[in-house]
Amino acid sequence: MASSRKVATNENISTYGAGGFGRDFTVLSTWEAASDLDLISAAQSEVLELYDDAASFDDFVKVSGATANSTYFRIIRPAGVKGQASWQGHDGTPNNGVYIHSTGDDIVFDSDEDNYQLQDLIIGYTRADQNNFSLRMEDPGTFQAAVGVIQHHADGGLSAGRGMMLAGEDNFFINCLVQDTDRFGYDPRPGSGLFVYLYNCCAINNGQDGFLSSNSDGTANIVLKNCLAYGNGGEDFETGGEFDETNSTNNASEDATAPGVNERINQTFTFRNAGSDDWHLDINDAGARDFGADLSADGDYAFDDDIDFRTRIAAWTWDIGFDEYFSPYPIMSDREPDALVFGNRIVR
Amino acid sequence: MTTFIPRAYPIAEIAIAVESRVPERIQEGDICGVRKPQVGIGLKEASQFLWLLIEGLEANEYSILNTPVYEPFDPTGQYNDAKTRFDKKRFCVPLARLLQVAPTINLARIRDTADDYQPFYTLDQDDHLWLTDMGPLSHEGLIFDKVTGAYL
Repeated sequence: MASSRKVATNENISTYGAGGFGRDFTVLSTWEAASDLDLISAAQSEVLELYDDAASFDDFVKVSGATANSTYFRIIRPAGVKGQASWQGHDGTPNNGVYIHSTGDDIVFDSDEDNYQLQDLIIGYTRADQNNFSLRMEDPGTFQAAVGVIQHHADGGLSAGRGMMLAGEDNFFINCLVQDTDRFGYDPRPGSGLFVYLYNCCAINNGQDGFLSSNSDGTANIVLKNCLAYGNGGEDFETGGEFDETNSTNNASEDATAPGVNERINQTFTFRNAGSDDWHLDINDAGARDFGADLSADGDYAFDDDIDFRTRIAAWTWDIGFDEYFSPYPIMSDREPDALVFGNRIVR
Repeated sequence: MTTFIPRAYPIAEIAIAVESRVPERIQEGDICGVRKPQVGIGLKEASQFLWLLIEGLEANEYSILNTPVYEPFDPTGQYNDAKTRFDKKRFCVPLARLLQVAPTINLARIRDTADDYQPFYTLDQDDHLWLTDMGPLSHEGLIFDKVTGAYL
């Protein structure tokens, strides 16, 4: 098994939260400055674990400059262990967990550093001119990844300009959600001749397009796999010509725009509780559930878990989107004696 | 009876680096954090940064204090083209200049990254809450812009 959340070697963990709670840092950029080191020479990784001490934190950071590789790198993630009381991250919805909401003029999470990972936070911003991003990963950083990140704008109105921008080379968004922006969800902009990758990401109810494809260099170098778009005001997947139609696969849209092979267009999706921003797939969903591609051996970013850290099991066929449907309660089947059923899956 | 004087500008709290590293990483005096005033700081923020209250800038100007320098400059802020990094932080408060403004501060203690010395606040040593502060300093003549080579 390979989690989408990478763990670094020899992690030096610092904590972040509100003043008075005994955390190490109260400002993201002070940690960033303090941990901007030659991590390879130090044989050490730097990790910031966030605590849900406040309803939201008005903060922003650019992670840049540390000397890193695939062994020693920087990570920002919630504190605690998923599934236990210690967990400070979200529950797969924007309703609970550490929420970074910036009111400044800067991108909330900006980065250009090799192998940097941003994991499992809720992010947003308020800016009147709507020209900001919540998240940007760009060159010269490579193999950066945002995993399980949710961008949400509960206050609507002025707040919700643009979503997440993925630029540079070999950078990744995995199991992410962008919802309710006034403009678009994802803005992939790989450099000339370079590729970026969005796997199992969702764009829901954004004012304009869900996934843009026209801000790159004019070549088809945006790879989308198992991505889901629904309820967007423009096209779910912009028909701008820069999605890699050969290597993109198993994407699903409510309209007719899902790119790649094995695409699922004009689909109806059923979510657990859309009215409460719970976009997990419902047991009755017939648009995305069991229609995904297995990425556990993907050549660019192999992983097998979803936004809730649940393992996607190849034998059950992956779901499209950030969520792998799984019944919260194991029940005994009344259809087949002596069979244990998880959701609609039978385990003998 | 006290007279209420409305402030023309908001106040911000800034964190200043107290040590220099290799070029393109933080340098002594660099402004590494900007925020609205809060109740306290983190355990590792007490010794590694010097905290000040600053006034005189518009609200939307404060976050700019924590930005890097890029060449060439892109006024849109969307750096998609090749760039040459110039400096991790554009703005700084030179400690020598700060000493002129506040002659009683101890620069040796400020530079000691094992010392929680915060001369512009009274810091509760147990939970790192601010107990009192010395009031805001004006940004004018204190904050140095590395791009223009001049104080704000």
